[in-house]
Order: sequence, then structure tokens, then C-alpha cells
Amino acid sequence: MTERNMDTHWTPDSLRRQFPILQREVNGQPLCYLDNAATTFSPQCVLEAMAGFENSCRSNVQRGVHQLGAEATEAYETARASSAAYLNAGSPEEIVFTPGATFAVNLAAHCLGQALDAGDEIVVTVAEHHSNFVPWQQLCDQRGLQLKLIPVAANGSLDLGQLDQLVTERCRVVAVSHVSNVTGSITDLQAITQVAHHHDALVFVDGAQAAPHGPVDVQALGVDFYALSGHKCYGPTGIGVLWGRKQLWDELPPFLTGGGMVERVTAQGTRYLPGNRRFEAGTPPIAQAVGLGAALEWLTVLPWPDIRAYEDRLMRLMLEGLLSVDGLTLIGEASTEQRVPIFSFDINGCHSHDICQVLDDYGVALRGGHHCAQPLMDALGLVSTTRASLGMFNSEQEVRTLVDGLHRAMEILR
Amino acid sequence: MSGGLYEGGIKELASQELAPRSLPHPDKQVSVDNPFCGDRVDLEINLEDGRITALAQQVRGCMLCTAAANVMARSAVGLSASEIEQVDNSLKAMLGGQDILQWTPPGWESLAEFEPVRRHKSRHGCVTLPFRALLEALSSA
Repeated sequence: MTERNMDTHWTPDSLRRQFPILQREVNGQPLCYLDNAATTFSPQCVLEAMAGFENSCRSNVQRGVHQLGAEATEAYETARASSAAYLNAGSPEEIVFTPGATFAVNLAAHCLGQALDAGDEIVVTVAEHHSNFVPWQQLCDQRGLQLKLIPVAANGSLDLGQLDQLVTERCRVVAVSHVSNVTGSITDLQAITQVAHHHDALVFVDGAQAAPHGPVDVQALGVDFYALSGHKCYGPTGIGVLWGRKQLWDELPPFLTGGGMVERVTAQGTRYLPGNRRFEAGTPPIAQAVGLGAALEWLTVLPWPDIRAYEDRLMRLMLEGLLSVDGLTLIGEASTEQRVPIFSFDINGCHSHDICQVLDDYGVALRGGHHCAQPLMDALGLVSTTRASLGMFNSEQEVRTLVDGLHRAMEILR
Repeated sequence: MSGGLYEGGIKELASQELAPRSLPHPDKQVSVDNPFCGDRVDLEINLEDGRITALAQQVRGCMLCTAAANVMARSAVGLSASEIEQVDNSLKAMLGGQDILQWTPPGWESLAEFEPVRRHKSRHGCVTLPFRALLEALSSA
């Protein structure tokens, strides 16, 4: 791991000071950013890592023999090693950099789909983000596969009671999110993996909302693929990671083809590189990978027991405050257990966009809409919800600002 | 600031549901979505000689969308596709910043209430969604 300007002595205030953007105001109010599940901010060390790459060794990776090329390659591969360490992968060779988590799902769906036959089954949940729903739905349409859905309970929580019936011997892939981007609930991956692997099905996990909340152990989870998104993990946009077991990378056909992923090209045909290198065609997003590597290194060394205790305090405060709002229905469980600080809610008689618009007056950034989870919204009988999602830099005062703002919004909108 | 969006006319307009939710024998039915937020307008119309004779709609949208749909329901009956298109163009021009006195078409004066939406570009689609639905219904006529 490279040495960076990292402040690892942690207090909520010291953490906030690492994010330059938190100094700005919105509508004359201090910024109260509660849209971290969409995109969160980067700490200074990440910004410096990317600037450092751009200012000192920007060049292409892998093939250059000049000094800058060697330094760029080292920085890129260091980022791969940092990603592997954050996920506790077996080795950096199990890491594929992608332009984002959505790309990672598409890569997996496309490549796994090549070996599937009509009648094979894919299982996803009703609660998936469109990014982990549409690629599998399209794959099923294109190849005559059957898409089966794990349902949700009336409050939007996953209902795994029918798992044994849904995952059959024809199931080839179970694709689930580690954490719901709507309810914030942590999925019982152990239960899913156990049933899926019993039928020799692979388990693909969309970790976009879980990875920002602490290091992940893909080996302990026992899953087969795990995707994360850079810009939700305090890194830059335009970068993501797809982890897969090495054996799977060796067996899968490529997704995109071109330079950087070939061993030899002749007029007659092409021999691809083995393993993960086969899946990084073209010039990769190098500066973004360097930034993501810095973000994951930064996350890795944070004192997670302390941060989780702090997040737990914020979640209790949030639940207490939200449930004090007249007519508010929380989507998912009203509990701090088995969740991350993502809270979606419906307020009777008020549309989420109107709520978000009023809250913006108070400097509060929320997200309203279907959160790219329309099958879940349909199951809930809703068009949209309002979502507040916390990052580790959010404060108790910001939670109070949100709750006060919601009470005021009700006075204005009703 | 959202000042003006929720303090007067728009809120009042949103509270006045003027159209029925369905027609017994609609000539055209459309359902349009705002991909940005998932809002939806389900609209039905009857036509005679190219003019709207009846309109029904179900709006699952924000206050801006609901208010615009109610304005449309009040004034669209009797108009042709080209006239609705003129209104839609005028509305978009107003949202784009055109002088309010120059754009307001006769019978549609209450669209002036949407002037505060101008500075909220991400919300323009909320106001125009009902008109998009109506134009789609008319274009398929």
C-alpha cells in the first residue's frame, strides 16, 4: 500500500475536515449532503492521488517502457492490489477494473450468458436496482432463459421464504444486491449462497451500496462475483470493480475486444490473454483507478468499530426523527439492525420531488424518485419515495436539520 | 430557492382535480412516463373532427405535474392537435425564459403560475409531462 496523506485518527469532525466540498454552502445554508447512496464525496487524499497521477506520471499502462509508463503501470496495479485487499480477494488477478458497477453487471451477464441454454433460469430480486435487473432481464429475453423473482414483503424487505422453490436445478445465476439502495437492508447472502451453490448456480452480488460501509470479505461471503462502484466508495466517477474467482475469469469469454486484452493477433484469428486481463480491453480509466485505489486504502485503515458505532447512533437518531413526521411511512424495517444508513420513505399526500425541492432550500440534498428500482416501487404501489442516505462524514446536526426540514416541508406542501 | 413554487397558484391549481379519471368509450388512450422520476400520466380523449371533445386523466406525479394537468384539463376541450401544440410550445418558451406577456395564449392564462419553475430546469419535465401525453394521444389520432 502506498503512503498517502491519510488522517487515520478518527473523530466525526476530523473526518469532515478531509472533505473540501463540505465547506460550501447551498442556498445560503451549510451544505447538508444526504445523497451519498447516489454519489458521495472524495476526501483530500483521493483528490491528491488523482492530481498526483495527472501531474507526475500520466501516460498509458502496460506497454510503455519509458519511465512515465512504468510509473503509471505501477500506480494502476497498486490500485488493483488495494481493491483486492479491500475485498479480501484471493489475489489482485481476481480484480477487473470497469467503468462502473453497471458495466460490471453487464460484463458478467454477457459473459456468463454465452454458456447458457434456453430454459435455464436466472434469479434476481424484485428489489434490485435497474443495473442489476435489466442486464439479466435482457439476457433472458435474448437467450430464451427464464427470469425468476425473489419477492418482497409488504414493507419492501426481501422475502426469502420461497428461495428453495425459486432456485432450482435449472438455475444458473442468482444476482442480488448486498444492500438495497432503497431500504438500506443488508441481504442474507449466506442463505442465498447456500441454496444457489446447492444447485451449482453462481452468485453475483451487486455491492454498490455495501462496499462504502466497510471492507468486504468476498471469500467469507462465499459468492462468485462482487461488483462495486467507485463514486459511492469515496472515489471518482467512471470506475468500478468486478471481482470474480480466478477460475471463472480463466473460463469466461471476453466482453469487449481490442487492444490490451490479447496475447497474439494474426490475420487468421486472435488469442486472448488469460484471466482477468482478458476483460480490460482498451486504455483503462487509469486516473480513476488510481483515485479508487486511494479511496479504498483510505477506507481500509479507518477504525471501523468506531465508525459503525457512530453510524448506529446516527441511524437511531434518523429513525426517531423520521417516525416523528406525520404521515411518514418508512420503506423496509424500522430498525438499525442489518442495515446501512439508507432510509427511504413515503409521506402521505406529498410527492418526493416536492419534498426534495423544499429541503433544498435548507441546503439539504436528498433524492426523490424511483431510485432505479421500479419493480420494487410497483410492488409497493408507489411511484416514488424520498431517500436520505448518510456518508460517514454526516453529523447528528445534519440529521436534525433534515427532520426539521421535513416538518417545515409538510407545513408548506399540505 | 423553491420560493414561489409552493406558495400560491401552483398549489391551488394542484388541488383542483378537474378531469374525470376515465371515459366510457375513449378514442385514444396513452400512458407516458417521466423517466427522471417515474411520474406517469394516463390519459384518455374523445375526438370529433380532429378536436378534443372529452378528456380524462390519472396523474401520479408531483405538485407541478398535477397542477399542469389540471390546467390542461380545464382548457384543452375543443382544441385541435395544432392548437395544443401551440400551447405546448408557448409553455416551453415561457419555461425557457420568454417574456410572460408575450407567450400566454388565450384561455391558458393560468399557465403563468408556472413562471417560478423557470429557474428549476430539472422540474420543467414535470410541468410538460401532461402536454406530452396529450400530444402523443393526438398524434396517434
